[in-house]
Amino acid sequence: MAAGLPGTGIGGIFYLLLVAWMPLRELVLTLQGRSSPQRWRSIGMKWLLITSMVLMIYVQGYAIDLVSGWLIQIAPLESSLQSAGLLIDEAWSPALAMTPFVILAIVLTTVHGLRLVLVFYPRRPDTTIALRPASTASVASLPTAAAN
Amino acid sequence: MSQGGCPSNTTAEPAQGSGVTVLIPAYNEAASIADTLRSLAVQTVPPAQIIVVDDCSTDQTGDIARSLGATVYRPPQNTGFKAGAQIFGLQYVNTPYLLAIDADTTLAPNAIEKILTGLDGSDKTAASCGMVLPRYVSTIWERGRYVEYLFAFTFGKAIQNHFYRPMIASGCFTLYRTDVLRQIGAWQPRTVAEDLDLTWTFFQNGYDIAFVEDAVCYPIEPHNYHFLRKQLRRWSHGFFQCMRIHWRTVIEQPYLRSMVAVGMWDALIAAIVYLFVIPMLTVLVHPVFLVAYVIDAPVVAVPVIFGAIRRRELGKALLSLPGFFVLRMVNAIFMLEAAWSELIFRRPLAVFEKGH
Repeated sequence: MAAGLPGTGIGGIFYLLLVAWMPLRELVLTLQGRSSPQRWRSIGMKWLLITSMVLMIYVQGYAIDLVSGWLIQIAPLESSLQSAGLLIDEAWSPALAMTPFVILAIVLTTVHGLRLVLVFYPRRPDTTIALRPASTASVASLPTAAAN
Repeated sequence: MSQGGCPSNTTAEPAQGSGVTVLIPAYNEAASIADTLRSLAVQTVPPAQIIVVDDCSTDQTGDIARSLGATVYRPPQNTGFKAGAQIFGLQYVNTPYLLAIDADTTLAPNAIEKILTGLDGSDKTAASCGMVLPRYVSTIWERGRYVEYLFAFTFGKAIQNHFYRPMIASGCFTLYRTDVLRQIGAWQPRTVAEDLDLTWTFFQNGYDIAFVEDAVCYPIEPHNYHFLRKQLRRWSHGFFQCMRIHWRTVIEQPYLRSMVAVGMWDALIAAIVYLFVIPMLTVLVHPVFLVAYVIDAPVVAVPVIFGAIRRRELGKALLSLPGFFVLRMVNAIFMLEAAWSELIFRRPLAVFEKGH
């Protein structure tokens, strides 16, 4: 199962940034003797992947810019196509491009803030679910249904 | 050795060879379990034992499994959850490793050999999960899932793995250290996503999980909306059920907290945007906003193409790409419904329905 919707929103940007940061982290691990050539190879492959993705974003941005300009110039005046071109041209701004980064920063800051707050609130015993012996007895409490 | 009837207290055969016992929970899987067992028979590293928990099937599941050499156990009554059948089967495992697979899942011939490499390193690594790809890629739903898996496993999961925090070790194909699995309480039948629950329980107890991209399994994915609906309901409700149980664990785990936070944001906000904002903008402002549904297609395509080229399946991947965007819309509906039911109305999904 996959949480979220792959390929959408801030998740993609988050993983791109995570890969961008990998070499620095790995350098520290290498100095500590906790890395391996395999891990560096894996980072290289991921860098190739994200470089391709960033390149694709750039190409797509260029293509959209080209198409919107073409629509504005070629499409009949005040037609739906021309208004589409104008809309894209106006929407395609640095501010819009920065929005996902700002949202990502807010989400990450919030979750880290929550983590810091929780330091002052010890975990309640009832939220700890580990070390419970597995037994068929617990199955008795289940609703009966077709199982896979 | 074959064991039928209910209940059974017979102990399993002694550990041998690879030290891997394959545990397969099964309920009415007569149509698919033979393929699963045949794929196990041709493994480059054969398992020491194959245990099928026939969860009181009403078809020939047990007989078929027995005829193909599996050890079959049957609980006194239907356990109701996949986790229940797995817990029942766990008592018969006496090898150091336990490979959990689904009864509708076949393995690549070297899958066990490859997935074992995930547990080569530190004892801190409690489980090793593999790559999942749909066995049949024909309908739009299967095609959508094929692209979704190629994208998720090539991009997201590979990155998560670098930090030893795959968000989930898929229940259809994961290898566990048996002693650690028992120590942490194994599968808990308290959510409909027992694999996600178990993954986060491992993290809570300080263990890591490895993802081995070369270890490949092929489950049967939903071929029509009827089964897809059941599967997506289970997955989306299971995700929020696990969030309710493990939210503190998630927040305390480096990297995992950020991955889950952005996943949650995308699941909820993108779903709202897809289902409400874009249609409103399209109707009220301009039809050009429809482009937003596929604006990320080129970026999504990059990891999909990377993964497909590696498997020499580029044509199939490109042909399947449109299915991904249809499936994503359906995902959005189920994620919102699950969030609404589980988090706001506190009406948990309590019935485990299989999705194929």
